[in-house]
Amino acid sequence: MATTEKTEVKFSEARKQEIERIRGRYETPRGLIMPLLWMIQDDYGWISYDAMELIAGECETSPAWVYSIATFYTMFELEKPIRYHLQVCNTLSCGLCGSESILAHLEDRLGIQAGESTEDGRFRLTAVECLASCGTGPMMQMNDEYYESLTTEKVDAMLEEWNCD
Amino acid sequence: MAKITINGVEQAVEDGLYLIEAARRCGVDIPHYCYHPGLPVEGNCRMCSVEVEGIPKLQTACTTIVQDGMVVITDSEKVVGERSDVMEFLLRNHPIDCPICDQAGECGLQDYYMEHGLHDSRITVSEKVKKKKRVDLGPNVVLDSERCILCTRCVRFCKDVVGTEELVIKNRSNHAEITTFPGKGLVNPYALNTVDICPVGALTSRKFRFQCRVWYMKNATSICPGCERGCNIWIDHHENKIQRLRPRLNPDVNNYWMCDEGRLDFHWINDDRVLRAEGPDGLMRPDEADRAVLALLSNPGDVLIVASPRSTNESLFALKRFVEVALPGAALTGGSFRPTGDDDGFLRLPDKNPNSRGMREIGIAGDLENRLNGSAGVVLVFENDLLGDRPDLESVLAGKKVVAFTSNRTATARGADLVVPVTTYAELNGSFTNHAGLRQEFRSAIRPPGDSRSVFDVVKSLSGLLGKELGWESETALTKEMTDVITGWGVRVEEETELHAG
Ligand code: SF4
Ligand code: SF4
Ligand code: FES
Ligand code: FES
Repeated sequence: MATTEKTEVKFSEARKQEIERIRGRYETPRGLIMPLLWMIQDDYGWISYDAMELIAGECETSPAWVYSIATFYTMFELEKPIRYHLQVCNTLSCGLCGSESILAHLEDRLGIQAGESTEDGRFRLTAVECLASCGTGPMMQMNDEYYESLTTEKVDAMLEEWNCD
Repeated sequence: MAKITINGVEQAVEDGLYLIEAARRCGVDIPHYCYHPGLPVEGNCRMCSVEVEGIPKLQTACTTIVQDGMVVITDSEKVVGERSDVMEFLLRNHPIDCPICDQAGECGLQDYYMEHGLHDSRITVSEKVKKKKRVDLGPNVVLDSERCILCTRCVRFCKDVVGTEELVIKNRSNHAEITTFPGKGLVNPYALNTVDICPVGALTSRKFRFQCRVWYMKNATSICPGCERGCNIWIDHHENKIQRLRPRLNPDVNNYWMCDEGRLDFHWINDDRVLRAEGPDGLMRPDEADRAVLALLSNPGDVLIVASPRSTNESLFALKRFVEVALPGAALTGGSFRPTGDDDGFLRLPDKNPNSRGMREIGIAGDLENRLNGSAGVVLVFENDLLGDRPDLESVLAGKKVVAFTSNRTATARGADLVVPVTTYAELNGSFTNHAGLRQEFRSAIRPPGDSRSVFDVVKSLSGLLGKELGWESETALTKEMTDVITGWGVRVEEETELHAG
């Protein structure tokens, strides 16, 4: 969940122009919510409550409405970014292919439970709903990238690599 | 008109209706959760699935618009099986804590489980997803997240009826929950309507929760006295105490809704009532009280009678007749110093009295302030808290003999020489005429406490003592005459309304 820490958020001049350029694509101002969430995430790395209020003002809706959409998609970062954010799909197809054991293995290796971050602040582990890669389960997303058809061996190799940097 | 066939019976229904509504009008109830006739449709719960001939998959009746020639089956094995499956999913994580749930007895899950579910649970209690049991959404509404079936009725109410978009669903799937924006509350002045339309026990009223089991309560049809809109309401009562007020469907006035202020304003009926008449020498029986009043009426020219737009039409009509017949020469005025509010564009109106228009149409002049400043030495105040609303009037009333006919221990009662208890609207059959001129009748819900009498009974007794006749055998006769003489007040045929609409 988003932290309450304050960062001043605003749209840059370039962003403002971009917003005006794409506004016409949407039937209602509300249609802009998703692109604006992406803009904030790209510019700040995460989406704070303040940012949601900013977006709400731009889209003529309530902050609650933006909050609802931002929390629906696990691709939106609602906490300050962390070096490695691992999101393991928890939904049926991946579940049938063994996502539970992948998640358990990660919890074990990182020494944290899903929903927590490691003490050194480098890894965060989250169990998420379907990431639309059901054909290649079990799968997870690390920051913006997909890692598919996971096995515990593959996971170990990845951790090895990420731990070295 | 469209001709449709429901379960083998051909029926003609209005064009453009949703199938669920068309079926209801044909007497076929299709079970539903997310559908509510006062909200835009969403079709998320799947409970209303039915078979439509020519379409291989089941269709949701709440999103399907009737078409001429449509053949619909609502009771086939396939449909019944679907309902029971939907019930099983809805109850998958439901805590089933009916014994401590306020909704028990009027719960969509209980009712439909008995009708359409009756499956054995495949889930043990420890496998259920746990969520927060007590979330204070705002000052009036409490959420139990575990009980929520995510039908979004409450979300749509805030978005589409009041336009505040305060409630949303956050997260997805098992983690999904109703919430406000972090740090903000559900504060719109109509928030408690979400409790009515929540089909389960997820949303409860902070004031009503754990107060009374619904099956103990009796219901009476009434009209909210909170402002000149006159929202139609149910008075739910138990052991002669009002437990809660709920809106009653009237498309011409308040639809399915009422405001929180009106809904929560009933404790004055239960508490702090004047039970016996009281004079300088202490408590009095009603007949003693009437004689004490009579003793003040020897010079009608010195008497001012103050009526109130909080009184019923029947009380006002009786009062007017009383002055004409039994007390000619006395002055009759009406009005109110109750602080006004705003017209919020939805239901709440500025005038916080329910019957200002009725008082006008009955022909009681509204020159209250002038009259009070006049020379009358005796003032009979009927159901009007002059001093509570305008404390500065104390100096005006000082030196006058004041009789307060009142239900409660108001400031006016405390400053009066004589206090006579009268009933509230909840203990009367009567009517209010709302801002639009609609005369709306209501029925007495509870028994008058103590020696409280209706204004009709009081003035009838006083006239008797003065040797005059008001001319009505009963209140029914009064109502008949009143509705005959005042244009547009003819008795309205009450539309039949459901006890638990939606
Ligand atoms: S709280 Fe009630 S009305 Fe709102 S979504 Fe949940 S079940 Fe529906
Ligand atoms: S809007 Fe007026 S009449 Fe309606 S519930 Fe509120 S106070 Fe009562
Ligand atoms: S179920 Fe895992 S990606 Fe869809
Ligand atoms: S009532 Fe039709 S889908 Fe919910």
